[in-house]
Amino acid sequence: MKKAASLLIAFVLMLTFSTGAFAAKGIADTKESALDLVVNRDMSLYILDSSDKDWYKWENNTGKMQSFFSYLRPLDDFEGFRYGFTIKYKDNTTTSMFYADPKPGPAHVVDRLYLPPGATIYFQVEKLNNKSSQYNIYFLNFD
Amino acid sequence: MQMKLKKVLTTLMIVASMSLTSQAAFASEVAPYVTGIGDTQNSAITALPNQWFSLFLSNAQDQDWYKWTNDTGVAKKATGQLFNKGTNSALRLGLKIDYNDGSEPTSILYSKYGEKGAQQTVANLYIPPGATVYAVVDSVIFATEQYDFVLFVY
Repeated sequence: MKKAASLLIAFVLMLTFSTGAFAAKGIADTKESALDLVVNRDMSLYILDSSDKDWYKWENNTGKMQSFFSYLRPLDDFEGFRYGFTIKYKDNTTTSMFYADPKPGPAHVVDRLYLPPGATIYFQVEKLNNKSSQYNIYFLNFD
Repeated sequence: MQMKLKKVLTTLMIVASMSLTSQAAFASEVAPYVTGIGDTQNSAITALPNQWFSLFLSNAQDQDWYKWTNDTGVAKKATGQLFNKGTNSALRLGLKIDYNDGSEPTSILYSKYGEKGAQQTVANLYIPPGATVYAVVDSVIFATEQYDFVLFVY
């Protein structure tokens, strides 16, 4: 029982730590240092202020055309968030930044866009103001 | 001499009125439809690639929809550009794709917006053969101001 409890505590600590780590400025702040999205997992993270940007990416190496569903779900201040993305195609062309509609909220949804084989999609979470906020981000690809 | 001047003046006036008329014709062509045409996705204006549209939104809820279907048989990329000719309104430009293959269309994907008078660009999006790309112009801060819109396809 004691062991189970300490395991639980350790697990909680790990979770807390990993969440805390994302809040730090300097991690995943640029497209080049984007974190790989964990497919089909609701990730809960923090963003600090308007100068902090959190980047995530997913590469289509399934060999097939893929569609996807994704959202950013701020836990508060949903209109103060922007959920953007850009796609780099296999031929090395890159799209401009696109953004989900922040209204009516709370979720910002980007979905159903086709990603050809070899394409990488980069998501960017940003804050328009300097209020630190928590958010969830989710991504799921499908045929 | 006076005769000649008069002639020059008349010519000038004709030229001037011609250019005025053509502008007026354009405005009158556009104005009556501002609230009626392209207001919904279903009544989207067919945008010929590289063709400029000069319109304005009639109220804060007004949307102008454009569409283009990739019937070229090959994959294309599309870029939309929106130039706000005024300085009081903040407009945004969104793209949405219907792949016409039975799958649900995408959500509307917007340019960044919120800046008054700024240019909005959405660029290089992949449009497979058979897909229809929709472009929608709406306002974040409304003012009756003209905008120019173009869809480039390549």
